[in-house]
Amino acid sequence: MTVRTEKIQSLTGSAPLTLPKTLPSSKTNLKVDSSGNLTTSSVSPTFSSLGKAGETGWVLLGSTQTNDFSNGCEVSIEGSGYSGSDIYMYRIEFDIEGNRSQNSGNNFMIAPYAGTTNISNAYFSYNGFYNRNNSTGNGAYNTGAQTGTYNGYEMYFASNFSGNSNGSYDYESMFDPAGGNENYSYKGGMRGNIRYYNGAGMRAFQIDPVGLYCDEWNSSYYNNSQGYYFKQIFRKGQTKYNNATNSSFADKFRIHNASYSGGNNGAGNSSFFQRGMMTLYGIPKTG
Amino acid sequence: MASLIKTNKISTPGGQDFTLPTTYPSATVDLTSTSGGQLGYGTANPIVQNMSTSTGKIAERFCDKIRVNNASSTVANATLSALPSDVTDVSSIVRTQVDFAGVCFVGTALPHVQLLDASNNNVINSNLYEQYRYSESYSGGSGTTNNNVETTASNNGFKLNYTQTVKGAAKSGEIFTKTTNEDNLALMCGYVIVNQYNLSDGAGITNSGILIESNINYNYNGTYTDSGRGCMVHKWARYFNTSGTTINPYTQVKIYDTNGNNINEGIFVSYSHINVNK
Repeated sequence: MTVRTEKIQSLTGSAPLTLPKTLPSSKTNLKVDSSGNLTTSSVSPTFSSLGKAGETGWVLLGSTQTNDFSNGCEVSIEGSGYSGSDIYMYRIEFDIEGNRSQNSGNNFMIAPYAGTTNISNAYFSYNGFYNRNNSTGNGAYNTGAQTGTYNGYEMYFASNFSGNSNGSYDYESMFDPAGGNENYSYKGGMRGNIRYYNGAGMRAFQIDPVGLYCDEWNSSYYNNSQGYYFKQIFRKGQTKYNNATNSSFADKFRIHNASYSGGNNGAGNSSFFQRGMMTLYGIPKTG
Repeated sequence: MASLIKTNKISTPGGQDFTLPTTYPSATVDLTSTSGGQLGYGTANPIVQNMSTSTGKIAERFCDKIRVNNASSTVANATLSALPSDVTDVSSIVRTQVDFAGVCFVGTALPHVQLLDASNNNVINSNLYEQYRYSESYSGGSGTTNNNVETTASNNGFKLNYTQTVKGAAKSGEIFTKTTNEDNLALMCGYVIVNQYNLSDGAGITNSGILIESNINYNYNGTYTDSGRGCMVHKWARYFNTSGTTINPYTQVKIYDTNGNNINEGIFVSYSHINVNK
């Protein structure tokens, strides 16, 4: 027997539940809002983190995919419910390619932002390791120091990335394993993940030992059947030295080419762009 | 059509009774039912400890988190559970990873990792053999991988640094929010990954052992105006016995300084992979 009613209420309560008026298109949870309306909308639970009561681990804060070569790539915590001062450490994963197929200026850098303001510090001490297949071999980043004035970025990944000058190619073509015997055999880019200690004045980058992988453009190894010129796997860390020049907490990261010739004050060089995927995770300072 | 039916229970033709709730939830939540048919409300922001299949629960699971704030207090060590809160089978831990960042000490430190069993016994001790490799990179230092000939493990556990010490000093205030540089702040970031296996874990295992990998990045030079401050150390170690005896399963990962300095700042989180079939 079917009983028709709009609302059902417990005799001992004063909170009637209002029944939905439509059936869901597929099996779904019943939701109840604070007014007692039952809905069948397929709003699945979303979980951005693993944790337990009072303790939260890595939180997914944002993910972006940039498909065109019109600007750099960036990812922020906007919409996550967190602010920059909440996040003690970030992890940034990325798969990026540049728009220049053969140009030594195809350099990738990463800059922290607070809102729309580039808050890159100027002085960092480098260290780390690299393994590559060219004449420079394997070794250590053991002499480095990013010195001088503000350059619009905090970490300089590497130079001479191979790129993709054919804008009609999907960015996923960077993973094309075929490589040789075509005009854009030097497709490629960079992928990896890094961590960032998000102190207000003192900050630190650290590339996971699994490393950043990238392909290098080289005048001897383009446009022929040799395909990719495997450049290097590198792991780099840096710590702050000298006076901090900014004191805000980062809430966004941007990979761009700040120009090998001076940085354009962080706006990026107008001839060199990146596209690709960036995903941002963070460990909240509290909770 | 009745617009409102008041009743305590709704029964199906099969006789199953569902009892209505008497209040509203404070936010939009799932409607739930107990096995007794009591309808109720789920949690607005459910806490999820694990990604898992319905049986194996092999995926990464959250275990523990510690935040040390110099403005509040310093701690002698950061000891994190390697077990999710609903797991009691200590032998089911396949792998544990501890991530940390911004770690500082009140004095120049030699940070080590100890693995503790459920009774707080030190699992890595001088009864075990040790083999390890490392790479270290700092201003003027080598970046090559070195195979060390050390053959006996230490009761101190697994050392995170190598030649360059981790600078530290007593400080005032929260270090994370400082906007100007100060000397002797290590700001150590990195991770430790632990695997353990025993003869009882399966055929083909000839020695009980532990694998540890770590990577840390920190200030080895205490003077903040010095451009050669950063040091990265990547290490791998294998501890094992050849006696055929079982090494007690670890349930906690302890990070501390063998120089005895307290930790005055930093954040630590631990995750484990759990395999109930191990």
